[in-house]
Amino acid sequence: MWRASGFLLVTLLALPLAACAAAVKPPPAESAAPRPIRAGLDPAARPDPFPSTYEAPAAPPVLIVNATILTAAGPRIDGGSLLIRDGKVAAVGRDVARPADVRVIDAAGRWLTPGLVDPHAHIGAGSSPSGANGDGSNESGPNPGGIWIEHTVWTQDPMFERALQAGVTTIQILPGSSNLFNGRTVTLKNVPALAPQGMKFPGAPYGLKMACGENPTGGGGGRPGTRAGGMMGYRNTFISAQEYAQRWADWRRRGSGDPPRRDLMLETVAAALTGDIKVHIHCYRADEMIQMIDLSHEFGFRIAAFHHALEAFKIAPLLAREKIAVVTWAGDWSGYKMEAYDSVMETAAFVQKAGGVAAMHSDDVRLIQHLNHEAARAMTAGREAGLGTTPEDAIAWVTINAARVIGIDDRTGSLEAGKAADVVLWSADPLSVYSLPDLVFIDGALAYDRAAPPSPPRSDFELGNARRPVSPPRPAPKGLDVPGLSGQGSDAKGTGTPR
Amino acid sequence: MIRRLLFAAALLLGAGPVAAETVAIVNARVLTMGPSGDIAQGSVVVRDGRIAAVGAGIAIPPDARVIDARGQILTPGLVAAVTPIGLNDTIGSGYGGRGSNNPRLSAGFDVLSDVNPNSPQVPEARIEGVTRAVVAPNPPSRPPNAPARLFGGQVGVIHLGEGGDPTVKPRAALYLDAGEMGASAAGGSRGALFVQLAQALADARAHARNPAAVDPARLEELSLSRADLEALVPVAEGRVPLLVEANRASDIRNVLAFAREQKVQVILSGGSEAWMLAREIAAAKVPVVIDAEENQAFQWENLNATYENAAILSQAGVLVAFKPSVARIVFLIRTPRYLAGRAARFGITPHEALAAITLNPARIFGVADRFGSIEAGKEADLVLWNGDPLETTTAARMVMVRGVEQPLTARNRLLRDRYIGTVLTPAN
Repeated sequence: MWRASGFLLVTLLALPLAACAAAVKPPPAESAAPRPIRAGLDPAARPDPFPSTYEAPAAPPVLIVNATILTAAGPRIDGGSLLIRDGKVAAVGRDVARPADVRVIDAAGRWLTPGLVDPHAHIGAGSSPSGANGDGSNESGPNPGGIWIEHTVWTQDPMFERALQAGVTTIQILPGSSNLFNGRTVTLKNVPALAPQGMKFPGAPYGLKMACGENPTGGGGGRPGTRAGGMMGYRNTFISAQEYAQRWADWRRRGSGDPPRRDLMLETVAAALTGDIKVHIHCYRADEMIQMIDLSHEFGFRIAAFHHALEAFKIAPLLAREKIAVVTWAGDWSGYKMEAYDSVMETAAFVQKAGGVAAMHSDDVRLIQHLNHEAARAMTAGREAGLGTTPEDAIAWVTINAARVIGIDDRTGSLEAGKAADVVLWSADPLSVYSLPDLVFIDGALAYDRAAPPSPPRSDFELGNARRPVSPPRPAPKGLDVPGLSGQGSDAKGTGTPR
Repeated sequence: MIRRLLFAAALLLGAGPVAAETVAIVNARVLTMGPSGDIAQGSVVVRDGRIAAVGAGIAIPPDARVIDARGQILTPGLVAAVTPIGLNDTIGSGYGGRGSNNPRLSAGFDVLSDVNPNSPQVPEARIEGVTRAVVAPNPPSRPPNAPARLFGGQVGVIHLGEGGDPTVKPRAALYLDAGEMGASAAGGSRGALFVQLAQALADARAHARNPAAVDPARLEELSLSRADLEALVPVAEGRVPLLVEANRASDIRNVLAFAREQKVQVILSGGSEAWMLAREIAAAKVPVVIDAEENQAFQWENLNATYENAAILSQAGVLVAFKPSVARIVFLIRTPRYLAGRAARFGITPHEALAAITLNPARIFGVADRFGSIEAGKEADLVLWNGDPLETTTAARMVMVRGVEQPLTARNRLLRDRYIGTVLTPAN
């Protein structure tokens, strides 16, 4: 996207010059050839310097039949089929023709959803074991906004495989939040690779991670000591970024002379101002979110999402009007710090009811292993509160809405013909605490099969450890509300009707 | 005078349940977790704060207030084991809890004095069905240039009922970290920790025999004050267990050997790699309060953590309870039921998982005569659920602590109710 917009910018700026040149006699050509610009000094010369090398592997077509399907693009389909071909969802619905050459999986009693999308994780950065692997997501220094978190990501982090086994197929890794501007995010396909380039989601937009509140205003290390100081820091930086963008536009219009000096942080912030990079803001309190909205109006940028956003329940209609998504949890968080004192279980349900976009995020190595439960709990709380929250809403929070926050919802996040076949087959209702992914597909290729778990694990780090037991592919247990408790068997009782 | 009388009354109140109301919960699917097993359609009679009767077709006293469960599930109240609940108003970024910073106070440090029963955390846990908690102090820390420290301090059991003194059982165990944190606080390595522990126990025994006998110079060296020594005596005599945080298999083996040699009672906490020593732990009759969701190398000592831990330990005959992560206590501090529900996907039944957050922790901390199951004579901690209590789609409909029905309100619900009008009424 940097490439596209860069070229667009150049073209647009060139137009008036061309028109001008057609009207008047061109000046005599400069005798000396323009000085070549040295490599790396003009970002437009190599707009994607750390390109994705991910290619979807070839995979045979698969037809999954008799499934309960939550597509994240419409109502639940009972007894549905899903055809995967050439890495894409080829067809989904109640009556999908069965091609002759296709492997058929009977999903009776089991459920299908899109692959889960985590719009806010730190795995790979700040990896385990944390005592020895300290390359965290927080760069030090007063203004590290020029970092790209992909340069920290350790692809051997065993958490990638743990997340895959929990159905997570796409992950946005964020830097920060110790600073006002924390740097660029990166979005990864959850596939094995030796370096992040092999995981980078092709064409996914970058994000800029900003942060409000207690984390970036802790003082020390040149950081502001107050929220007011934080706001001054945002404004000064946006002023600098606007001037920076202007200098580059002027230089491109001139078409001669030395380019302005590159500044990695201002480059990112300037791209955020134009919308080429999506703005993700770590922000807990309602008052701070309102301040940040006014900031966005002052400088004319769009906020893609507030992350954590525990107090979004106080301003849900405003966030919906501003088209700002809310990336949050179900809310076991009250009191975990002062700015998280006001936390409710229903934040996502409030946002949904107000017509906004809600998504669940992990931010944590445990939560990334049960994003579906987090959505289910917020759904349940929403129902209890009378907000009419549905399982379809809850699944959207961990799939299509999360993809929308990142800016990849045209490619993944829902089961619709033509989209990437990022698919999870669950042992039971995915909103049940007892469910587990049986199969996970990424771009139509089988990435995880609980019946044939990888042994040894895929991470080099886990090789040679004591033989950790591999979990056998047990069916989902019958719950405590089902008499005959000792028996086991798959159970598709569903969570669709309030009890 | 009146104040003193009130104080005396409060002390009496704190001693046991006093609720005078007689309540009968009828038409419930009762998961007693006790000898009565599951009762498909049963009743529970509560009198004077205790369970008077439980069963199908039992007599309902005419003076009882009757709660019709309409077939919903009734369970014992849930126990949050090894938790910092109620210790902090806000708990900092990730870490909370309380510990002693006084170099002359470790074993004697009593975290129960830090419990604030009026903390918003308490009702927020209660509405999720938590009626009791085993409150533990932080692992010992050692500031630079400070003397070595061994113990985190006393562990206490509280109830989460509204009002009054929350104390149920003070000094239920003495907290010790035998892993990386404990080793570092004790002088840099495990080798230092266990040698000093043995010395401390020997001193406690000597002190018990003759309080004048212990060399004050050695006390200084061990940073054990008189208060610490006295707190250590019941441990040294095997009357109060050590609650030992240990995750690495070799640390657990050290703890088992130490307990055997010193003839002290031990409860393991954490136990990431306990599955590797399941038979030894079972043979030693040592219970384990595991962090059931630890399945990755958060620290090196958790390198071989696995979701199969609970199943392997249970199958070997180890008594298992669940606790939230020490390192990330913000998660599930109020909802042990999800720890249990998720664990039930990995080889234990939902019933066993429920036991790990009800009866088992009560047994482990020596309070199963008072709560943990629905049995006649126990204090009436009861929760009525509109579905499977371990499910994400279930909510508690009635919570009773020691015979007193609790309000289903908490600060998070008050906040919800204050703002819900903004989304229920279309904004123009």
